[in-house]
Amino acid sequence: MAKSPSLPKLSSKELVIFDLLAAGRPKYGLELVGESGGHLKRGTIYVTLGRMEDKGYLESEVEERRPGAVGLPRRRYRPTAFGLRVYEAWHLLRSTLAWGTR
Amino acid sequence: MAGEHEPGTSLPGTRLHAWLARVVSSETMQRIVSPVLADFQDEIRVVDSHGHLRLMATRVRWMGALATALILNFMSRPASPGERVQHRRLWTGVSMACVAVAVSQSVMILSQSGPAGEALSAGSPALAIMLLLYLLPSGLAVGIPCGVLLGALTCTPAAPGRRRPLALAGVVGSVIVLLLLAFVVPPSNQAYRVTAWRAISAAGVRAVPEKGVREMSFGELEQNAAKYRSIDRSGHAATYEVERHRRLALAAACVVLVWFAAGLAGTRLASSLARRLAVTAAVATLYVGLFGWGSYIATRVTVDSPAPVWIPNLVFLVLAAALQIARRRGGVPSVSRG
Repeated sequence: MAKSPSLPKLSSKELVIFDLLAAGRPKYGLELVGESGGHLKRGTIYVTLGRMEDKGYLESEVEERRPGAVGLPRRRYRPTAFGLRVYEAWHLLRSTLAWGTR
Repeated sequence: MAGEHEPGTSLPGTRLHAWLARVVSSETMQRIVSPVLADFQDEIRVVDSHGHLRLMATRVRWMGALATALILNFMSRPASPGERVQHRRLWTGVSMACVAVAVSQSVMILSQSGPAGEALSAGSPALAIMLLLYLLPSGLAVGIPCGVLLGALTCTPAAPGRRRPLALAGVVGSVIVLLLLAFVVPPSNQAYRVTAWRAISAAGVRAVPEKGVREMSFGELEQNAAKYRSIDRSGHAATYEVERHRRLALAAACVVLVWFAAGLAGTRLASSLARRLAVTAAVATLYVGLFGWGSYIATRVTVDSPAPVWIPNLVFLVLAAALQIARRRGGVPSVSRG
């Protein structure tokens, strides 16, 4: 039998990132770590964000720098339309299953 | 918001960024390296404006080192679920064996009779823990090649894409062992000796001894070798030359043993955990035996050449080449693995 295409999945870390990004403005990696209340770690956040970009859940942009600014430009992340749809579908699934078990 | 750093000065991480740009792919740079370092640099700017720069710079350097290790790990990130399993096996094997060998070797040395035993009988549990910590770096220098060997045995490097994590494990292991033997082990060994002998002399026994070859840095070994060579005592000079080559050979062992293990991986000899552990123990014993024999020959017989120290690496290099040739000809029996 032919294998059907797998449904988009969200890990617990990806869900935390969506929770932080869905409502607000685009954020930096360390900002997400700081706001996650210990759910996200410095050592893994960038790999997770990169993986979410690969899956098409997030997109990123490099911040614009003023002339003469020292240091590397930071990267900001925001959810894509597809990512938001997956996030909403995931929420719907979660609330439906929670309702079913009540 | 962040305070402004003085223009013209470079923030910590700038050199690391430039170096990594030459080593890793542009995708990895864009996805991992640049965002990590840019965020760290922003932290530096923030604390710079609060006057805690020195403390923060140290912390960022440590984070930079950690990030480098993570990036190197990410570079070997497997693409398929099968490769991910291989990857996990490799690094689990490496870390398990590193820690196990390092701790067991340290405990073994500590439990032997001699200065440590005397110090322990005169001291407290805190002293024992301190001595154990001082011994750990030298234990790790032996544990890492064993760990890399065990980890590599758990992989099936049939597909070309699976060779990269193996090669990377060998190179990273070698670099870490070399850094340990160059910068960590000598002062740590000396601290161990000083602590142990002070505990004894506190009980009125002996004074702190001078540094031996295992406690000397590469620079001190070179200085002593040159000194004895200049007064034509090549026997004495050989002791220091041999120690230098022993450290280089032990660091190179990671690469050699990974190649050797890649030849054995996937065969019946490496088909179960018990067999892999047995092979690792046998190889480690053989390597250490050859290493001791090579060092003895280099110090006592061929005093003008420390080449015998490299004998174990040469032996395993030849064995690895033979295994690879046999594998290509289909001569090494393999087992199917999940």
